[in-house]
Amino acid sequence: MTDIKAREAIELWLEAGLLDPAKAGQLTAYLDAQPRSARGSGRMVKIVSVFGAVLIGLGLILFVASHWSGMGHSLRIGTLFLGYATVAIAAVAVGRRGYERVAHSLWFLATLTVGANIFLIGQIFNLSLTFWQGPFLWLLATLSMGYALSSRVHAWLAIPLALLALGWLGGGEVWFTDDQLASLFSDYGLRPLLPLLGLGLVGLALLVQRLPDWRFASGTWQIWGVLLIAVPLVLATADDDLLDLMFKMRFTTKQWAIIAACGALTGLTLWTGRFASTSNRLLAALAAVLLFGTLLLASAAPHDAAGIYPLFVILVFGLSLWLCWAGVTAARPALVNIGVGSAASVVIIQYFSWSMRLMDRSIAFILGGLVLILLSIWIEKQRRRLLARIAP
Amino acid sequence: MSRRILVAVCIQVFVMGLVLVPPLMVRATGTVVYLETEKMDPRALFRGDYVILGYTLAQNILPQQQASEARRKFIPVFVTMTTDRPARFVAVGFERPQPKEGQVCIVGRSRGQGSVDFPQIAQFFVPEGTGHAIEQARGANLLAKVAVSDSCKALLLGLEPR
Repeated sequence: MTDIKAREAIELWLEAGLLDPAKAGQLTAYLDAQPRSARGSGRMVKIVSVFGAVLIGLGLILFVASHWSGMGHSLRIGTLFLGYATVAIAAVAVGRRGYERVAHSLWFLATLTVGANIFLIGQIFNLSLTFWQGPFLWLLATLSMGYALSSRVHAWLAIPLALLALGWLGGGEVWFTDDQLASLFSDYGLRPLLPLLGLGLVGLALLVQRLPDWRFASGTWQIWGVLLIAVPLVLATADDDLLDLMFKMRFTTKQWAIIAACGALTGLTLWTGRFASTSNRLLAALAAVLLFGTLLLASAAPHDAAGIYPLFVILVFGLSLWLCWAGVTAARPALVNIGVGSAASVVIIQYFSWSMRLMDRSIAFILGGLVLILLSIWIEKQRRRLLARIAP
Repeated sequence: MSRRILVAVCIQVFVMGLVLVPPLMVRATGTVVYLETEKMDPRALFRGDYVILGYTLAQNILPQQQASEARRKFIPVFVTMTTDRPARFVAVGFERPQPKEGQVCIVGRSRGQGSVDFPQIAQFFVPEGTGHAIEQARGANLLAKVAVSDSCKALLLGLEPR
């Protein structure tokens, strides 16, 4: 069964002609009339059971680990597969009794068990520290179960696994333990590419909206994508040195391949993705071009970062405001929240950056406090106003 | 259980099995060589306790310029060695070699100063608390037992006294 929100289901039935607009309006009004606690309890069960599943998983790993050294290779491998089978059987049994949410959490635990098993097998055979096949295979296992259950938790887990696999692909150049993180965060790794990867991910999220079986992942991937864009960009507004550090890139073959893939994905989305209007599509294209251009400029000429820094700050602020607007037009409160948070962060960072240089520190703190209080009131007001426009 | 979930479970089991295939293949069909180990600085641990291993025959075998270029461009380095106990260095190059009888090759990467790392066999996972003793024993008195495939892939089977 496809696990989608009621509003999305109504929209789908409307599109398919199974519901007329009047009936759809009645159904939406009925949903709105339900008390919040009743609507929220299902989500609470899911959150609690997912946490429970994660705790059980950690306990199992610790239990196995404490007896690990006394086992031979065959016994270790047998134990790992037995552990997976136990969780899978529990998930089936619970599902058959009608506890679907708990069953979903146990399937999530089964997916976590696959990951733990992959890395424990890696440990048994002393496989490389940048064993990229590990997160990649775990990603395949996660996507397959996510698809089977239409599970957003699985969709959420898939992104860090994809980043890890991509970062470790091809190994690294630093000595041993540094490799594991250097492949992700160095200038030859993924760090300078995070916003572009985010853009590609947003594109992918918009594309999968066209596929009914994958629509469940769209919202989660969109939020992941936007966060991958927003967090590094906002951090880089703190200082021109940080802008340099964040986006300095070696332009290795792998990095070029990622840039090309993200560009192709973004282009395909702008061409075939669903947008509310042509002006929305054009604005999205403009935002993408600006983002690509600025990042490539900052990466290619890191020593000139000071020159483009003011423009960069303005661009990030502009993109944050655009994100708020895009969130309103797409009826996505999460995008509005991220947009408002990013814009506010840019303002706060710039305030502290300039005030500390230009005025006495004590006055800067007092004024800073006042600015933060006034800004938070303004942000909350604007956020509520924007979210009110989304609510039906 | 729906058909989709059944397929997903099959994929998950297959994926776990897939991780086992390459190491078991190398273990079953590979040639065993014994490499002298080098003492290396201990590092922080990330995936359980492990000991870092360097190999004597892979130290200072590349000219400086080639070593730097190979490191910068991520070019794989192939080291050919004998199957003696301990193994002896034969040749190093950037193309996959055709080892003669009594020889094997392992693929590695340049560390930049002329030495070559073998990332596939650079870490040996150990039970918690036992790493320090092995770290003390590393060096000429400790040999790494390694299975090597025809395609220069290596699997660390264990550590043995000389």
